[in-house]
Amino acid sequence: MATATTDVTRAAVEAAIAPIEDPELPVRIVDLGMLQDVDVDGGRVVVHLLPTFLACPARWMVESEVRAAVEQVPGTTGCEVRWLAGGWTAEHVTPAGQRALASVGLALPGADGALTCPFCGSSDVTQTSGFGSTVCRSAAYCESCRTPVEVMKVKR
Amino acid sequence: MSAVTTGEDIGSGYVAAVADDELLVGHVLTSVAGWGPELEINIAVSSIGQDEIGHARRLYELGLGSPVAAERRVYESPAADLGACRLVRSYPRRWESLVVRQFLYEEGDHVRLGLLRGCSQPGLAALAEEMEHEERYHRDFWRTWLDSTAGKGADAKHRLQAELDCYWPVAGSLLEIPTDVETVLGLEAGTFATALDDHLQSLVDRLAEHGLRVPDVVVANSRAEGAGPDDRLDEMLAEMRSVYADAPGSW
Repeated sequence: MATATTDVTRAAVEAAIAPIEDPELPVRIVDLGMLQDVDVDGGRVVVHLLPTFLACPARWMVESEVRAAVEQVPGTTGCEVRWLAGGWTAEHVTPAGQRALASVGLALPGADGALTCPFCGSSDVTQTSGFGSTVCRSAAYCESCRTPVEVMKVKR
Repeated sequence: MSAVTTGEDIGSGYVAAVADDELLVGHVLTSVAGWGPELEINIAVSSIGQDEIGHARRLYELGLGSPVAAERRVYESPAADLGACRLVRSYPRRWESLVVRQFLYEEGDHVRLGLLRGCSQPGLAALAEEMEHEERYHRDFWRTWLDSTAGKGADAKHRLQAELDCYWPVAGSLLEIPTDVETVLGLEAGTFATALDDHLQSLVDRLAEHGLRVPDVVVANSRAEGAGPDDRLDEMLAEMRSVYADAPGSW
């Protein structure tokens, strides 16, 4: 852990967290909208994270990686990760996050619930199940390119 | 959205009891995930089970204040210290048993979460809201399978009726709450009792759509001996703790 020789800045903490990816997907947690706030008090840092889904089994890994990254920021004397109760939706995902998810065949529902195939771009996508391979995914099918598609679940 | 607060002053024992319900439901679902009549159903049951365990984890942390306290309760507490309701303290014996049990649980949990969303504790209210959003998929699923199973002919309906006769006496057990806890949560005394009456009537009406009738028993005092299915909490805990007993976790 870095010693308290310099002041910790919020920008430095955010820069340390920026490269961290979701353990299951090639997308940064900041692009998933999980980083909600950073509090800095001297060398003490509190990172507020928003869980995508309450039962996500990767939460402990995200927390561990965030803490490890922040503790390397010069001036940090300690890092606490706090998880918010909830409120995440697909709308928290940034455009870069959307592209990253699409690159692995994972579609995000539009504001009106419309689905677009991440492979061919068609809107002729039908949800086939409310459940998928993980708690955050539903199953769908693109009638245009005839490919199974995974969709981030709509929570609201 | 609110940060999750500590377990102090929020009826922590009640919150942990709700977590006990979710944990046992999740344990059963993940244990019977291969029972579905098709693979897609098994994926769904697994997913629902995982959701329930995840919700239990968050509730434990909220009610008990720390992940370590949550682990101690789950793996070391005597069965008598757990507050799980009678509806979940049993194993389903067949598909129709699972459908009826889960239908009753999800419908009741929807009511419970709706009430908790209105409590005065922001951490619990926020968590209840999030759970309610995630569990709408669960409710839709078990309603669908009640409808589907009831429509599969006389034999299937007969089995459903038999399971309903078994589970109905404890159908409202997850809405039991001490009056003083209602007060701590900023709810008017009797809020849950009033909701229970409405809830049971709505269940009666829903079940009647399929020609299913509820037995003529009073759904109250669900901890009375003989009410509902056999209480197998001891057996369930032994199964859940069998690995821990040999290889305690690192917490």
